[in-house]
Amino acid sequence: MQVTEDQLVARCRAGDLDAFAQIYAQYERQVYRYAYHLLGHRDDADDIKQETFVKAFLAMPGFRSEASLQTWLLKICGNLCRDKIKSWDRRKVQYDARLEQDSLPGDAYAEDPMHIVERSQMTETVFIALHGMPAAQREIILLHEVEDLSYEEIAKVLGCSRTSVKLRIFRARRCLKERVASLMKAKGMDDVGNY
Amino acid sequence: MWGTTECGAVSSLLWNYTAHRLSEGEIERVERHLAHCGACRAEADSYRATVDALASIRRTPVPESRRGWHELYARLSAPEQPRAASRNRPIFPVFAWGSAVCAAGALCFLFFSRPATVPSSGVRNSPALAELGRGAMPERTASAVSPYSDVASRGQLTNAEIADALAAADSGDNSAPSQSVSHPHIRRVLRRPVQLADARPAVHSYAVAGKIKRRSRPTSDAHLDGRGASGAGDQSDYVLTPVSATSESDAGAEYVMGSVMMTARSSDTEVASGW
Repeated sequence: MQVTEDQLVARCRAGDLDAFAQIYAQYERQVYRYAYHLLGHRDDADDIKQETFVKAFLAMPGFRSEASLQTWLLKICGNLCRDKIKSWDRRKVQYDARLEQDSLPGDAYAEDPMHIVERSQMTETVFIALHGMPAAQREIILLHEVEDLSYEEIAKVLGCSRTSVKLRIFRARRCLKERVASLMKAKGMDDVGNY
Repeated sequence: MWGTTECGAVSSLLWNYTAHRLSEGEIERVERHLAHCGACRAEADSYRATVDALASIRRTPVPESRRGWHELYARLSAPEQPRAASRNRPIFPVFAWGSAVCAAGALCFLFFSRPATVPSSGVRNSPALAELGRGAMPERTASAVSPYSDVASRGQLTNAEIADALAAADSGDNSAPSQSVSHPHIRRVLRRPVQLADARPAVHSYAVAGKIKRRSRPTSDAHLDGRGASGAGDQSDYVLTPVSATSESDAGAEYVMGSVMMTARSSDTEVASGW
């Protein structure tokens, strides 16, 4: 019998770690991925992931089901990441392009290696551009474009209105586009990412 | 005909157009405009590479997390207050009282509800942990009695640790042939036998979901079972392999349920802990 999110939350409020284990299993990859993309560093993302769930467990008695667990956890994660970024002397831009062999998608092996290289170069360019953006703009781009959250969900994560989200996304996209264009020009690539 | 007003209106749709997020009516409007406006077409092209790259970022797995549930579990169920593990200052001092109350509540719950320690025989079968399994993972027996249950009493690896490692692996992508777990003794969980690439260091053994297989004969391959790969020739190396394993080398091997251990990679400086 499938346990609902509300039932899990109720059990967590009672201190049921098995219930929290299910929540962890369901959301830990997304929280980690979000932290990794925000911070660009695996160890920091690991720290933030764990702290997010510790904080979530401790704050579970106060969790209101108006927001989903997903948006609530991402909100906690985003707050912790912002604190982490503020504590840095300088921004880390570290993109670990080495993927472990057994974590590549299955069809990657069938693709033309040149396509893989070109795509990874463009991906790296966008990743670098993302990390050159202000953290607030990077955050909203990641929430919408990578985590695929709706405007309403993003509004809950960021604690702002839907209208504000739309405006911020528009500005962030423009900023990202300009940074990508600038990086591509510096690398000698054309507008569509070709050399 | 296509004034700046229409260009302005279409321009605001171009990103979502390249990301395939528009409705049919909106797509039609954009494409009708792009057919006659070179400037907007160029803008759409400039968005396309960025949108595709963001989609690629979305699809590309990030480096695997090194920290998992077992660590968090230990921290949350510890009698003392959980503290931030960050290298920086503690992050939430304001939660000190709340965390004390919750930690006390968790401690009382654990003390009065179920034994804190895991029985030495059989694999711990927490229903919640069993529910963590997704995909085509073999179902673990609720209370398998293991001929090797004395292993747990040796203090090498408890069944709870193995169950936690398996649960941590279950929370990963079940389509991948293997899953790293963060555990001092268990390196990786295999979902099916994997022939290691030549470039990889020989790994002595793995813990996987399923049954334990004790090698009845040595192998000289740099195979996942680890016997002979290091040359240690330790007769007591064990490895868990999936129930569905059908390779020739598995023929004639004994299958038993119970706990298992791992040793380190031969080329790593990681300390081995096994037997």
